[in-house]
Amino acid sequence: MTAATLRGALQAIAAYGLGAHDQEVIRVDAEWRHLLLDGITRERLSGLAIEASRSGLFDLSSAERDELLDRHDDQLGLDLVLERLLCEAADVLDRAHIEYRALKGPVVAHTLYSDPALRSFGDVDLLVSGCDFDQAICVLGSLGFRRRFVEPRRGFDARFSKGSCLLGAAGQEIDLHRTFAPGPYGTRLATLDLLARPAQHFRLGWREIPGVDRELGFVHACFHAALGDFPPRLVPLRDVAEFLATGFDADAVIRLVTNVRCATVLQRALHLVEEELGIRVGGVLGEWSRRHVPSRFDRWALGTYASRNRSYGAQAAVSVWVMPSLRDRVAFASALALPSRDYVRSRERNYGARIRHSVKLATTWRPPR
Amino acid sequence: MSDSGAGPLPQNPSWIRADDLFIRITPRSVLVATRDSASPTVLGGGAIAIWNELATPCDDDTLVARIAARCSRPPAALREEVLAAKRELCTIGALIEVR
Repeated sequence: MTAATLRGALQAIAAYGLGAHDQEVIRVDAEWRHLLLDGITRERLSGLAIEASRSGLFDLSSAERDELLDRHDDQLGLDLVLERLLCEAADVLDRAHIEYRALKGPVVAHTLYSDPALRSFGDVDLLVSGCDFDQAICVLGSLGFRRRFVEPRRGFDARFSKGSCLLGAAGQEIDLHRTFAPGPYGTRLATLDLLARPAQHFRLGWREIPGVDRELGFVHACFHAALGDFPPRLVPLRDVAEFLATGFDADAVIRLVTNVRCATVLQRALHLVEEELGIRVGGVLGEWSRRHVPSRFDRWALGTYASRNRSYGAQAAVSVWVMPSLRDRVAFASALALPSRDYVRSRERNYGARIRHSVKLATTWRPPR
Repeated sequence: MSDSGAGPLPQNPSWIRADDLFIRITPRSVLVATRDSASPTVLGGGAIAIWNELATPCDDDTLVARIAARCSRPPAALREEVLAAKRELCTIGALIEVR
């Protein structure tokens, strides 16, 4: 057994029940099974792993099955705490008349998966508009949440960032989004008014929660799957596959991503579903994906996300090239090159090192001719 | 009962699961979190059967009778245990009384 076959076992679990073309029984040597359990826990796949194990997709001893169930209980306990936090956050945002949409975890768990226990999560994700962003952080402060990281300059996150991670006293996190990804594709997507789309409400605890609609939910799943991590995390890929299995307006999605020049993100997500989960993408999206030719810029820009050298700095440097105005470019670049003293202190750097690093990024990451 | 709605309460109040709970079901447990509970409560074993019965309104006698029928045991032998579990669910706010 190798690390690659362990990854293969996790991929098979993530694809369980969705018609992967080579879903064979997984053989995991006894001495590797604790690593498999750790991988299942890390990837938040315990719900699917239990279903897969019950169907005989892989073997566990009785003690290992108990261990998996214990870990699943722990994860589900966290899911419930986070769902209650989402309701509390929704209450305070409503009281402040801030428009928002819930994203990812609880939304897809309750509206997409056949059983919410199959889709676990690690934080609460909320989308607000840039103009309400700082007010939303202030309001969520009433629940004890504070920024985890200092922003480069006051107002920077509301104008340029993907969002901001807020940390609560008990260690819970709220990921407050302005757009779906850092870097050039998040910047391009942010030119849309994402909150103009109708909400899809679902019942949670004591209230109705406004989530993103199916098409935007699918786009977000694709952004998360294609740009979120390298190697890609498996749960976002499963989300993409679940959307594909349950259906939505595929033409509307293609129009949306094409209009904001993010088609390559959709294509990469669909490619990863096929490659990582072994699920063939058919229909309108499958046809489109096999025909779509990414531009040179896209192939270059994707390298800042989809490689072992991915870095926030490189994504930021490439973002400059897709900003709609010169004014934005200057404000963005100067805020990162000369951020506030608090920001520099939090990064344990001095201004000289910061400027040198910025110049290096700007010269390294120039678009291909 | 008078027109104002005031009057003696029924002898045997019924109970049902609250409708504002956070719930997950696993092969061996049911996890329940309420608005106010510090952490989710994990129900296992016989408590799951009680939980399942309380999907519809149920008074104490009916609840005990149904659980006893499931276990093929006399109601009197289980009454104390079943009602203790039900009281615990009430304490965490997972059940509401219906009249």
